Amino acid sequence: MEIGAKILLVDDDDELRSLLRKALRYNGYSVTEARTGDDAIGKLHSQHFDLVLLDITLPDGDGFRVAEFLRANKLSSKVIVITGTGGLEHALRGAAFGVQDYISKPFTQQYLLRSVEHALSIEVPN
Amino acid sequence: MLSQSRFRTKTHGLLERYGILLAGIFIFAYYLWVATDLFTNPNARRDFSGYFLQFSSVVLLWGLVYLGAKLFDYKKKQKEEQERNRAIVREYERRKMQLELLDEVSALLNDTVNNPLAIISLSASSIRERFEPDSEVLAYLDSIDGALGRVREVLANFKSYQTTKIVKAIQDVPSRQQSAQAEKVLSVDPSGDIRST
Repeated sequence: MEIGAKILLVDDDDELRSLLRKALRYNGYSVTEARTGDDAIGKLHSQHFDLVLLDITLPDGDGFRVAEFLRANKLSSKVIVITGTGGLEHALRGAAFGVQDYISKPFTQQYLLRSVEHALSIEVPN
Repeated sequence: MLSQSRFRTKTHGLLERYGILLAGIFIFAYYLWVATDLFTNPNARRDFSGYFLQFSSVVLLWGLVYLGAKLFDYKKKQKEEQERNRAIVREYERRKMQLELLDEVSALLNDTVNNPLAIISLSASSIRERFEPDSEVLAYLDSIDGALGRVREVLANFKSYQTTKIVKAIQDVPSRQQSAQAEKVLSVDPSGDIRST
């Protein structure tokens, strides 16, 4: 487990975001929150994150916009996509943007932590 | 204006129903008229061409009636075919609307139900892992997990129902021949929407 890894948590549901933050912080991660895609892109401009936990349905549009921004700017942050629809389309789009994992709601804390650990352990070729 | 169109509709209806009978009566009356000369001068000498010329207009009339009937029949069939094609288009649009509605309901269900479900699931699993619940609390957590499983099953069944509907809609698409006929009355917008013409 990469303790202390910096995670950007992007979700518009305040309650879910709060729970995710608590679960991640309890397990030793440093968490920064963003409610919208623009907010997330703004934070990615100013600092580096090891992982972006990205909800797809955001109030200002498709969450893949953030993944696209990371790819376009050659940022090394890993990405885990969280989706409520669980469709194949999202999985394929995620793969096209090079995301490391894909979580379908609802999920348990254990599942989330396993996915985060796995994503952080993946070596991304430069 | 209205009475004119009503008269035209009535005439059209009469022609459609009694067309052959009316044509027969008309031709028979004409035949009687041209035959008057034959009855008034029965002793006049006539060769074959004389008889033919006497009744050539009757032959011409029969020919015209035959052509008219064919044309009428052709138009009727064309109209029926157009009606059939419009029915195919209507059915296609109805199914398209049904699938779109199903898709919207599914998206709404996913958006509105999965977030609260994620909160419940995450909370229950956090209680299990972060605290040391006694057997009574564990039983409550098991109930929560069981209920979550049931809701997940309902959602999965709904998705499966949606997939079945889509597959059925694809299977029920009109045959190639019907589709080709339908294309005659269909036009495709630049946006990709199909319109009936």
